[in-house]
Amino acid sequence: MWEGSGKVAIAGIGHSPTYRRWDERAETSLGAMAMDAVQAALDDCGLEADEVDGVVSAPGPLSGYWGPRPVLAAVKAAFQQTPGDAEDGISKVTAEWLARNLGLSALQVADNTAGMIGSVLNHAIELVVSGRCKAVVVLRPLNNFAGRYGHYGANAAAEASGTGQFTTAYGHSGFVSTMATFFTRYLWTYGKTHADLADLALIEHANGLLCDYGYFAQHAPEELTREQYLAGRWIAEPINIYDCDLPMQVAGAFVVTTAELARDLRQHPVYVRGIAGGPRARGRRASMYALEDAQAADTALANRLWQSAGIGPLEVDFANLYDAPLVLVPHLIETFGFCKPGEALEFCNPEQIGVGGVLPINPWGGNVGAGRSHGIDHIYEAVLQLRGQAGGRQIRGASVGVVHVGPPVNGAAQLLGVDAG
Amino acid sequence: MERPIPIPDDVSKPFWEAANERRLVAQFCVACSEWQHPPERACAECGATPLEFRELSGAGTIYSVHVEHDSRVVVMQQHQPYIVATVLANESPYAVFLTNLPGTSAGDVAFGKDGEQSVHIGARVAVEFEEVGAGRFVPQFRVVS
Ligand SMILES: [Zn+2]
Repeated sequence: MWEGSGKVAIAGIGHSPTYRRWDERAETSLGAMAMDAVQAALDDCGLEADEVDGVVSAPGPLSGYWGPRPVLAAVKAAFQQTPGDAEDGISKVTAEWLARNLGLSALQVADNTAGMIGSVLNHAIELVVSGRCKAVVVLRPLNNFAGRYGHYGANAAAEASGTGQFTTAYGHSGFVSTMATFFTRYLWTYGKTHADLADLALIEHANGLLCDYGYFAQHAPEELTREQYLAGRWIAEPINIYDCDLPMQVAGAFVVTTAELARDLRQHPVYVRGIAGGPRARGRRASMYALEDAQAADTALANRLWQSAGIGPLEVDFANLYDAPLVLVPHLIETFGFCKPGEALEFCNPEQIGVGGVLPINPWGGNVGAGRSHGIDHIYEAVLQLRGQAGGRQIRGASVGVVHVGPPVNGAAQLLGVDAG
Repeated sequence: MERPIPIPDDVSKPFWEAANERRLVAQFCVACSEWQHPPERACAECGATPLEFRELSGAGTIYSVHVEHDSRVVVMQQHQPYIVATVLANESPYAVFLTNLPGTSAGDVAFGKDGEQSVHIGARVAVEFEEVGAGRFVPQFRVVS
């Protein structure tokens, strides 16, 4: 068992509105959205800004800088700037920017990390377990600007340098390409086809329409049919448009506190029962995400999680598994031990993984069904479910949930519970 | 085929110099007795440095494959749909190469169990060299029967 099990809680959660792209107004800038999310998380639990003693941000930018792009004077004038960094508050939001603009006066720790929200959350949890902090704000801002996502910078260059010598030079397009190759290997290994993914896709897209804070329920509430799914245009075959998550501008925040402090706050604490993550994978072909390497690494990650919590896969009421792109979900279902290797695509039927199923998966629709939050919503929804605040998506009797955010091999996970254990 | 032109750096320079002579080389760690490609500053397993480059036979198998229909790599969009296959050298599963699989069309690639297509995981391939500029070559792999 992990020494911190049950001693830390997620006490507050906050979510900005979602926008397809930034409209270049000051009040919808990434900094403003980050402040909205953090203030919402503080209001949610009833903590004052001067009671926060730590901030951890995964500041961004999401996929390198979009450029060249002027920083508008009106946006600069609306916020206190970070000296020498005009991008702070625009394409990224650092812990320092947040502290300065939100007036966090009692900080002992202000960290920025390169990770995704899952590993950043684990970092905050460890700050509280170690006693360095009592109340940590965790921030994840995600920018999305005008122009096509990723069609810029190194991808738009006439030359391929750095790691691109061996990837971009062949037209390898980044993570979606990596996962397309990963999924071909999966389909071949287990004798499946892309069409076998349809049930999972339809469940996520339908769940997304029940998610009031997600993009599609708010801005594009249209049902996806099986025919539409199967006719979806390929992005990187065997991944189609409906297997991908729509980029959007959004920010999410969490307040992580000691269990004692959380019990004095406004909401029922959601206790952290176990965590797993770790340093980025090293060793030969680590960046290749070969299926067999990922199966070994993620099975080990899941086993570390179960051991840290003293809880096994049979005791879990729901699982929020990283799904950007969707083809990650069957891999994670298998490596987390919810079914045997090669059986996840059959496992993904409404009776099994739907909101009313035996083991609901991504009940708010995941990033595919609710928009590209880069994992913010995997945690946000887990807290809502464990508090009984998930509305029409509420899983009856949800008391233990597992969250995984990140790519194969390099993800991070939490085991969250209604009880401290 | 117009493509982003690879720019060698101090680690990869011997690889591209060999490619320009139509030879396929990869890093070899004597301590581990193991190959490594793409090249890195040190052995990813044991940290040994510097690593020597040795010549490979150029024979390999397709580890996996996908087809780009909506690529972010702007120069390559004119070729869509195009294949990106991952090849493991016969000498080592840690000598990993990408290729556009010249000679195979995107429609000939098999995904999973749909089996009418001819090119699939496990297919044998052999290296060839594509000229991308005056005296500049990039390795490609072609399916062999
Ligand atoms: Zn070595």
